Amino acid sequence: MGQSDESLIAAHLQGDPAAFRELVCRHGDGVLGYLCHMTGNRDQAEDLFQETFKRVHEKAHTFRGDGFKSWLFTIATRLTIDGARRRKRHMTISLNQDGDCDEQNGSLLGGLVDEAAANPGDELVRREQKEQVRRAIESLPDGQRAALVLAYYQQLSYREVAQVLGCSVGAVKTQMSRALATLAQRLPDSIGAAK
Amino acid sequence: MNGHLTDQQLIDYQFDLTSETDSTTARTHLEQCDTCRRRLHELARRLSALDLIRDDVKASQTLLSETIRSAKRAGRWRTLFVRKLPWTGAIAAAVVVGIALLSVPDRGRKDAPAFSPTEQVFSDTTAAKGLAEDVPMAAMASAPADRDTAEGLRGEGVPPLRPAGILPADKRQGQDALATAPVLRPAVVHTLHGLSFHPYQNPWANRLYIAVEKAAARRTDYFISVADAMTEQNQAEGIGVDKPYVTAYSAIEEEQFLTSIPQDKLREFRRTHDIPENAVVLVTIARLFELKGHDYIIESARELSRRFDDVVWLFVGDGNLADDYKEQIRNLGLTDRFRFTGLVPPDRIPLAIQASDILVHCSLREGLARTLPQAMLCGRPAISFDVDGAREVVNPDTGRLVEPKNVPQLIEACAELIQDKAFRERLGQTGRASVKTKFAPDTMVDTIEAVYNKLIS
Repeated sequence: MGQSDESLIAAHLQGDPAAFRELVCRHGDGVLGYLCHMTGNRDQAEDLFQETFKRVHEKAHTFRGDGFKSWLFTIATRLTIDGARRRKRHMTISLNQDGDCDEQNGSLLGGLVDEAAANPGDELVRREQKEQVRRAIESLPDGQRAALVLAYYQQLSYREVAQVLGCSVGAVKTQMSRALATLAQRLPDSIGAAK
Repeated sequence: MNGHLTDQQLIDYQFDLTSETDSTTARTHLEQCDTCRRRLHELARRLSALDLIRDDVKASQTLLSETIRSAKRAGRWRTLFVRKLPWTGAIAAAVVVGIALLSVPDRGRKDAPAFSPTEQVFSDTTAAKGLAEDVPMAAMASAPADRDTAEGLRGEGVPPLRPAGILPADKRQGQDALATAPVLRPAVVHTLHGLSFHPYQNPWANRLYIAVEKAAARRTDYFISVADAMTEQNQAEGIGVDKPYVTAYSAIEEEQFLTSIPQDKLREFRRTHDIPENAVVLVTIARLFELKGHDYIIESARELSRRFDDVVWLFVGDGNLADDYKEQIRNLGLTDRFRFTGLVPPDRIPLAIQASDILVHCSLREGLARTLPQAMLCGRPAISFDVDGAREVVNPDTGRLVEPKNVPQLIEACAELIQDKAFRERLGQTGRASVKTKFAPDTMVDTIEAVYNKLIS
């Protein structure tokens, strides 16, 4: 078992470069996944990802020592909101389809070839189902989506989600409840095998 | 509770979203009601589809490394109170070019009489060495025809430049002539070794650079580029579109690359760097620095090292990212696959290349990386990101061009060459033949000389 996040932050403040690296590697997938869900675009998510950890590096001294993960996701959330505001002001449309967060590491064909090797039919169905799940999550309002991704995928407690989103635990539960009810209608009916 | 539980109540119960009282009520109801239990299972099954995309997004090693570096760099810059280094460069460029522009009149050239070749004062070498390589360089061809103007220029602190490569036979006589001859509008040759603007730079800095380049272009008589790509990119930004351009590929002292190094020396090089004799070596010759793309090579090595047991990556050069890369390689468990030579004297570069099998160059920004033709002269195939001038030497007959940042494509290109020695040798031979004349010193000198002669005549 490695060091806790909190002790890594303390080590980073003491000037240990390996500590910051460890934090980035430890939480990299989670933060990028969250940002992908929130932006729906891999390029934007990666930009925000870099900005998030830049803030962590800069503002480590302001961390109060209670829950690194919620502090980290608070930064990511604020940057996402700021980014969305900026994009609204300078509305742009990406023509680059590869930028969508629809594949691991953005490798569309690579995944298809590897996964399809076992059973192409099943894999195509599975791929389509994944796409449906993504679309269903993306269709949720921002607040509901953030609550769902943080609580379900990042496994933050409702209290931690409330800290991240700056609202009450009750509000988080309400958002979560609505999100799940919506998803129950929109998610694919069967999972896994081809019909 | 009357009737059945609603979907919303079931979801709230399942995900602990309800109050303690409601939760107890729902549990009690579920214990007695098959319909609601079945519905709960149905909802749970449907919502389990969410797990299909759990852990679906992975942060690549490249992203992690870039993030760590950019965070550390931002910290350093704050300490120095310099937020954006490109801006400092842009301002410096603007000042330098501003001074140059003030000293070079825009008019008069057309009416100027021809002047003597011995009084031509510009040298590509001077231009290349005079200032930072990306700053527009006004190499002035000045034949003072008007004494007042000549004095005036000196008065502004800009003495007429002396010929660097072409001097009068009698130097003193030439200087006398310089002092007494009337001044003409100097001819200006602008040498493009690389572009000052590029996609990885602040857009505002780019705009400033482009504006400065455009202003300089108005006073320029001829552009010499190190690659056709430089010309195309310059003109695409509207810089000097009405001016003549010529490509003079940077000359390489070819002999040392063409000469085969004895096998015992190659073996000794490998031994020194602990490279097995039978290993396929992928060499990269570049500063370990931003935008040089070593991260992509490291990331590709993760997959390639799984596929091939006998492949070693050799990084020739040094730079501020050396420690970062070593750590990244250590974290990936690839320490035994990578070798770092550190700085290598230029005369040992042919040895490093000939002791290797494939050159891999993943820089994101170049004029035309000299390491590509150097490798080809050694008969080694090159794999390069398709940036700037790379495609002017790397093609399907000489190596592999890879879409920039596309690691899967890079992996496949490397794999193709790693597994087929005969194919590598074929590419190497074709590559050697294709660059031999192109990068010969005579070719470059002839091209530049032709420009000078054209301006003189």
